[in-house]
Amino acid sequence: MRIAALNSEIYSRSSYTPAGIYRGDSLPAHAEVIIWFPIYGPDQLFADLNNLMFDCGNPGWDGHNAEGISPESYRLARTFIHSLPPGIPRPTISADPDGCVTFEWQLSPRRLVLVSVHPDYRIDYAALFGDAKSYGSEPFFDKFPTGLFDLIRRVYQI
Amino acid sequence: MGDVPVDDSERLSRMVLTEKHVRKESMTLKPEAFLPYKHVELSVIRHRDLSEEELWDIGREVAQERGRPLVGRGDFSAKDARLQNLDAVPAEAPGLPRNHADIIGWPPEKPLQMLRAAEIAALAVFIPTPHAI
Repeated sequence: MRIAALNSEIYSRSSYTPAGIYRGDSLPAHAEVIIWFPIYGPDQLFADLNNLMFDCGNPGWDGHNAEGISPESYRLARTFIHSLPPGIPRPTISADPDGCVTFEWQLSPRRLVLVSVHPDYRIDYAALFGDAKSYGSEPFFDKFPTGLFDLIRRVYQI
Repeated sequence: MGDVPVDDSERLSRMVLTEKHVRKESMTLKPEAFLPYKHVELSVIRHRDLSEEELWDIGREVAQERGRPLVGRGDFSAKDARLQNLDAVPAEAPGLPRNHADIIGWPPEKPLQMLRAAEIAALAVFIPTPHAI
């Protein structure tokens, strides 16, 4: 069985669809559903990042003593966007109180991956998959870490 | 109140002073709303002995003092924090809001802080300030 939507891009196979096109829990256990995600380009993420920089570029933007996003954080966040593998679902972009830029892939509050890009060429990540969790740090220069891609895929698979 | 320990069942509020911390499509809070910085402690307000109106009043005072809009609050219980190996302790002092408390015990490593914040965010309930969003 295949479920699809138009104007979208294939990403992974699962019995769950985040777009609400199909309720996977009513499928037979062995059924196959293909999840389609809206196509986006890096320009849209750059626009999101620029908007974030505008809103969170100065200290105290959160009302709780946050650092503003530094030019170094902004620059490395752009590099991170360039490194995103084709077909990866579109992340939302936020700022951390320490001035780092965070990318979030999220299906629900307990099913998500957070990746914080640190200006000293490091990414910190944390992920929840129901009761399971994962976290860690990796160096980042310009290559998207393979292990991170697997975590993001897992968010959209049940 | 300042010396009354925080009970497991006590409700606590993280005041939300930026819309950037809210996922508007689901009206849930992002983990960043619960990340501690610069000190490794997270400021919250205890609900204990407060009416709903008094709680919002404290939130408005905090927002006004910091020159930010009060977008809403993230409510969770002290037990929710303790399940993450954190603790909730009273922290009242001159210059701090009434019923102030801190979530303490955060690990120094950022990935673990992010994980704890994500867990709390998943348990927290976002309550928008009336007419704020």
